[in-house]
Amino acid sequence: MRPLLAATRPSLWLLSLTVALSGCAQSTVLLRDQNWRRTPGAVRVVVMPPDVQVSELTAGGLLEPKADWTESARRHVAAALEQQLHAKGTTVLPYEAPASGGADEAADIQLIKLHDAVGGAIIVHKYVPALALPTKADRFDWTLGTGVRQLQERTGADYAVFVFFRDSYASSGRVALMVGAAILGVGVPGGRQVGFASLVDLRSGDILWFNRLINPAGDLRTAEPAGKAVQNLLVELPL
Amino acid sequence: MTRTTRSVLWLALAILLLGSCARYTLVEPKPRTIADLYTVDPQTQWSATTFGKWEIWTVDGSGLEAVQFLTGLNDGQPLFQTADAQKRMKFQKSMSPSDLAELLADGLTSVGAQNVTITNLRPYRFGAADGFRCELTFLNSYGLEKQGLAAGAAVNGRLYLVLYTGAKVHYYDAHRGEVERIIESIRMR
Amino acid sequence: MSGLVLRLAALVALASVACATPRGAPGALVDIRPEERPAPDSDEAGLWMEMDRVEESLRTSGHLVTDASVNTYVRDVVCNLATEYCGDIRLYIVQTPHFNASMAPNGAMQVWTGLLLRIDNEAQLAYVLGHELGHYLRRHSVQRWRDARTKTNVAAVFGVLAAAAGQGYAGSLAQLVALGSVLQFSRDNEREADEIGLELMVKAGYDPREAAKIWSALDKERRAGKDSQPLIFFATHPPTDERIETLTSLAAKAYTPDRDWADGREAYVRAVRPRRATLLRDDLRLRDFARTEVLLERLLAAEPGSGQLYFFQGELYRLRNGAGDPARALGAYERAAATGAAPPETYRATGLVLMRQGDRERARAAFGRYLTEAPEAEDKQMIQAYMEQLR
Repeated sequence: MRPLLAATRPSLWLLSLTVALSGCAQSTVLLRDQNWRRTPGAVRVVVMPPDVQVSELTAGGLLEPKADWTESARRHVAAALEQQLHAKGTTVLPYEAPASGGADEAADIQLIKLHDAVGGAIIVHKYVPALALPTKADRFDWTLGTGVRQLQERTGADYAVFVFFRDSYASSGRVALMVGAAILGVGVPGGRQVGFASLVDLRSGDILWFNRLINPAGDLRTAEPAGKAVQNLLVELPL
Repeated sequence: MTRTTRSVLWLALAILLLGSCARYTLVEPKPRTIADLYTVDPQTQWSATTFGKWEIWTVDGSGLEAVQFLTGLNDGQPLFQTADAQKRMKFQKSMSPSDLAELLADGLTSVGAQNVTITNLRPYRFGAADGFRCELTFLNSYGLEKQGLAAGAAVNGRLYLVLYTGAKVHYYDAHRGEVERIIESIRMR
Repeated sequence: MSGLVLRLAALVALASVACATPRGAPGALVDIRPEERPAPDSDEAGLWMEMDRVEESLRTSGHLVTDASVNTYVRDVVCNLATEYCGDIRLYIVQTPHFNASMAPNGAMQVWTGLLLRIDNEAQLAYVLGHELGHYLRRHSVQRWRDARTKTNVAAVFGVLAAAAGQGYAGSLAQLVALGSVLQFSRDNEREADEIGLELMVKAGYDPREAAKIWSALDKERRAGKDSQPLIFFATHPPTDERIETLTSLAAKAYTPDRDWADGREAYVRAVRPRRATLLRDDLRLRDFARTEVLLERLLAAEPGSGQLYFFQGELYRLRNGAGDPARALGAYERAAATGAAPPETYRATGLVLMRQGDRERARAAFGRYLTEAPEAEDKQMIQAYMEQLR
């Protein structure tokens, strides 16, 4: 087994990080304000296109993206999001990209990239204890800033939800390897599931809620288990 | 939450596994010595860490905003520690303030910044040394628009810099005032 | 090495294919047809999907040259070569000072501005793009990817792609080049792509003798930069002597003196010259002086007396600042000024060198000339401060 540090495959890193992270925090949910409750009455939520990718883990340890699995997973996740948010009594709006080449598109792109960067900062500094920021010790106050208002104006939504999933399933060759290795007493990891989600207030830009999927939950490629995975992720969503 | 997050994850993991844990300590708004050469008033609380010759302060995470202090580079030493920068982005003590600003721009390019543009390049007195001040704009390697400001000088043949960068959307503006005052508060020891 | 370059080159590497299956042999992939897309459950679909994702991130990366006239120019050259495949091709001109062009199996074509800077004319552009079209039309990428899948000791194709796409500047060029050579084109594939490149060139009326020249030019840069990073383009396209010989003999066969062959130099100059100062500045930014010196010599040989090129030569010497360089820089700036078409920065740069040498009066005069020519310069205050100090 090659030493971890020599690995150049990000799949290995991400898996290891997942392993390292699991069992670190009691609750994985981060809330800006424990007492925050949504305003009563009609609430509109725009669901940003879910960033989902499903791969196959081959016998050789390669993660190969699968187009048809990913397409199914994206559809199921989007459907589950819409259904579960609707069940909470919100109006769900799909995100519609603005006209290509315009100023609105450029602004949206920057907002989405900023959300990527903020999400990265949250993951590193809130889920990896060694890298905690003293300036965030007793608070969770990341924001995208009031620039989100242009998204609010365009969609009419009060909140935005971002979801990220990476999922992988062992090929039959991999499973055979796992079984064989288990007999020999050597651990060979199977597929893994990683998920994150955030809720953004579209007036202030504040990240109101952020969560990480704790346990692998359900095959995203089929509707029912995908629904369970989304449910798992949306736990304690204050909507 | 795609490539940026993943790269941050890998970096974090790399840092953890390599044992050089980038642990952050709290900076209080009390006079603080930088590089054994000067003191500043931090204005507010920051989370501080060091990386090579740089002392880095941030509130929200250095990808979002960061004040970086270069704590003294000798003649011939590189500005950053990547393979490219080590070979090509070297400080020379005979550099003028204009040359230093140019080195900063090219140095940032060598570590992944794109379309680095220096504006309003003007003189800056760093103790008894003639230095430079400027603003800058660039894109990070993922295309996130960034803004920055810098002050620097060669003091007794060693390079000192203060570089503040932040995302153009929200983060640069959020702490720009404080950083301007930090720079104004520089007092040589 | 910036994350962008890694990502782009990963796309390139995946576009590169090395399989020894000759055209028409049993088991050979059928050539791609216009508007074709792989079936969703096929292995090729996974490759396309990953390409699509990288392409999407490229589209929003902020590194694209969006200038309409350059895009139209290159696109017209591509479409002229690609004929009925034109509609399947999405062209991306990427601002980065490295020489490269590639075509991903999903039809995404990249042309890096380092390439636009280095070619002499449109014919050379047509050869390189035709070569990449050859890889695309023969589906070399897919075969190579299938090949790589069966080898478990090869760096995971997608793993490395994702790594390159995600690592920002935590990655290194050495890793990238290693990837490139792992997925290097086979000799057969390269020969085939060269043949197709030449065929397409000739069909479109370009002088086929131009093809071999681009390799010699690149090789000269490579040899000059012993200390430099390996050339990305060479990592996937080995610059063998055999290739140049083959191209030369193919060209000799195709070239007939009775035809009116185009090299397209004027059209190329018209399209790219307005951007050349930016491209040269990007190149100098790398501070890879050995390579830039060779490049500038070649450009000056084609265009002696160019004020812009003399200026950049001066800049190279000024930045390099080795033994004898200040004098070389001043000489180059003087030559630039003598053409009457030197950019205003020439005087600023002259002032900086003179100031460093301690020649106060002449430095002051040069700075004064700069501010006269560029009264709204971004560094106006700094230059005025120098002039004060130099009194």
